[in-house]
Amino acid sequence: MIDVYCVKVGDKYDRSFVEKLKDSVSKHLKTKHNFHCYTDKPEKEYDQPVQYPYLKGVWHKLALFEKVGKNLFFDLDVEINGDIDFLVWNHEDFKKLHVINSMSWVSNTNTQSDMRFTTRNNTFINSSVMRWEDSYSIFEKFMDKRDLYLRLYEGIDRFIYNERNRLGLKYKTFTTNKISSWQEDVTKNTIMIYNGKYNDIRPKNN
Amino acid sequence: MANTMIYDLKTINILNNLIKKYPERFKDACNSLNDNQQKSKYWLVEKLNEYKGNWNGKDSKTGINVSVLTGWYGLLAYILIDEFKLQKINNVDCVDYDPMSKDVGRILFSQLDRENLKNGKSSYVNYRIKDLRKSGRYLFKDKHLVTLTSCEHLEQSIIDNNLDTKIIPGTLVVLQSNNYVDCNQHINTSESLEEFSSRYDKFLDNKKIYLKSFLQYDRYMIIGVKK
Repeated sequence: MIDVYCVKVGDKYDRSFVEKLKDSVSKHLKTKHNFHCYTDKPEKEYDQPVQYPYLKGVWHKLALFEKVGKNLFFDLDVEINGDIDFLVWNHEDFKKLHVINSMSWVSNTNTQSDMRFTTRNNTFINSSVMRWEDSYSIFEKFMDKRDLYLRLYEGIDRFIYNERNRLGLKYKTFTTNKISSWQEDVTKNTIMIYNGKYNDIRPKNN
Repeated sequence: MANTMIYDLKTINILNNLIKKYPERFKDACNSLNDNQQKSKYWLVEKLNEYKGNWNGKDSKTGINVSVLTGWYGLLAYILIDEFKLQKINNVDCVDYDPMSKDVGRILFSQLDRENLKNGKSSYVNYRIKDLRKSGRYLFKDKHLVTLTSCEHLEQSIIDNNLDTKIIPGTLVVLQSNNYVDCNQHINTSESLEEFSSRYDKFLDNKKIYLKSFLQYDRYMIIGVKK
């Protein structure tokens, strides 16, 4: 059994995004699974209340690492257009946290120097889609110096990427061509990610 | 040719050094010196200098020892060395759990260290990488003045535990917090100055309380003596 999670906190995305993602997962993931929405406003039977109400925005995604088991995560603005069983076929793949390699669009779209990249604590990974089994230690290490990391990083991608060596955070990136970002000038793929810009890029789909 | 330059070369050297050695901390280091940070720290020392109550170091003939908790890169520690008038300061601990606070702080304030030494001021800030949740009473041994200017960042139980069981009675204590709820680091803001102050009735005597308004929020301060 696979557990599929999304996170809905605050007002940026309304409930329709959750329903749309739930329907997409149900349609395109044939493997037996349970869908959960980790949220600050539980209202449906599949909702799970956030465990750390004082965390804000994207930081709740890290708290999902408390969940041990075969897990998938999708951001609410992810579009699923085809079969996603490739994400769960190989049970060995769950052993390490998997995130998206964002190097292609980060280095394409930003003509930023190495120095600018470093001073901004930028990142070459993206957590719009994640797969993991036991990554609790990442959350534990974040919580140990939460205040410092909230000060230094704008989001969890930057935290995981920039602290990977210091804290020994283990992750891999997906090795598939079935996940694309709108920033790669791709308009359709099995999984499309919109990097928080869905409402700007795909307004007519709302 | 003008005698003064638009930019202070010493400051440029410090920034240059910082960005070369710790580029990933450059932005954070600049934030630690921003306008609001400086205003709230100078405000602290200004009110501290007006404090009339009795505390352990008040009549010390040999000077006092200070502990600046959650001291970031050291701004308040250096302002205290410069501006504190109630007593001579012997040494200042700048306590933070950030393992890089010392390395970055040493660069940020390197020029000030040199000038303080030249002017015969106590200049040595002792950066101590300690976590307030885990450190023991030894952190406050021989301390006469303890400051904690980021109560809004800490769980109340951590502050209470340090005040209750670790800080020595008679120590002069300064606490700051605010009502700025929209910052994702702020997990323990206060609704008002009175509400903030009431949290410390059981720990502090001779309390003086202060409020300073900033553009987006109010900052609260308590100065008192550990019971």
